[in-house]
Amino acid sequence: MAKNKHWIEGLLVRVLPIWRGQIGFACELTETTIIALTVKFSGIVAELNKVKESSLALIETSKTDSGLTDDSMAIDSRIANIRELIGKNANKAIVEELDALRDEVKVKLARYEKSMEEINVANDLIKSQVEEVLVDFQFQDRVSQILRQVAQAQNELCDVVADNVKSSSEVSRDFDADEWLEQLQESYAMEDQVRIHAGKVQNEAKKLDEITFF
Amino acid sequence: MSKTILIVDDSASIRQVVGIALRGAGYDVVDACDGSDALTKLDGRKIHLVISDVNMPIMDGITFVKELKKNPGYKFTPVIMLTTESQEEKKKQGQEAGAKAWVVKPFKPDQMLTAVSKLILP
Repeated sequence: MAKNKHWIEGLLVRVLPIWRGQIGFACELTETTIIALTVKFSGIVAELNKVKESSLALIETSKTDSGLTDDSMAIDSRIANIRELIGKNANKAIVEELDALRDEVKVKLARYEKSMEEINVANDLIKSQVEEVLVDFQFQDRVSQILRQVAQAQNELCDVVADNVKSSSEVSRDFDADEWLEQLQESYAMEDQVRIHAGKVQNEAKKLDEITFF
Repeated sequence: MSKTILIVDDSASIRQVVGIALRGAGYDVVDACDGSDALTKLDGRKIHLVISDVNMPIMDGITFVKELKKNPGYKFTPVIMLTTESQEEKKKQGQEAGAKAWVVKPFKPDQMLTAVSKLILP
């Protein structure tokens, strides 16, 4: 049986909508998943902030309730004053007890300060990781945009091919492939897309911090 | 009283991401899924800054900013365009519409917050 000379166009008219549907499905799946992830992540960040605030408040309250002061110099000074009040002939045991008390207070203070410092370090680390995740989430927006443009271009191409089949001519007279490709290139929002369109390898997908003030 | 920022973007994930960054810095956030939705949500309320996408269905970001600036209540509200568009022609359109800054996605939250604190109304 002789093949219809428009068999390739016929195939394209059938396969392009299928590909468009598959791309749309992939786009919807990733978008839905990312939205769910960002909502969950938003909740996690809010909870982390609450935990941090509570931890710092708890340590501060414990320190205040213990009657401790932040100033170890002040503790030294008060101990020295007591020793002076007792006098030079004070019992050695009393002096040693005072020194021991001073050391104990200082150790407790150091523990509180260390706990505060550990919470602050952990907080900085979490903050930095949260920022990285927030940047990564945004790439979904680029992916969706690229997929939508490809689907749109396939849609247009499908119409062109269908018209060509109907016209029964070898090449549709109204269609200018160069012009169509040029319009496709002009529709890109990202420089990476323009580069890929020109057959170049994209290598700057993670370019950040482009802020222009007017 | 915390300041209110309006986020306009058709991508729900981007609205979430920007919202996380802004709420974390103590701002109140109102969001809209396109320019038309944003104009409806303004409703006379005090907005200290707007962050808007460019390519959106129904009403794009450039048209939205032009419409916003026609409203006397929001004439001086600063606008940051947040978009994947990095072409100079588009940036020029944004500037002419009345935007004060152009941020290309993906953005780093601390950079965005710097831009926000620089432009936000007192």
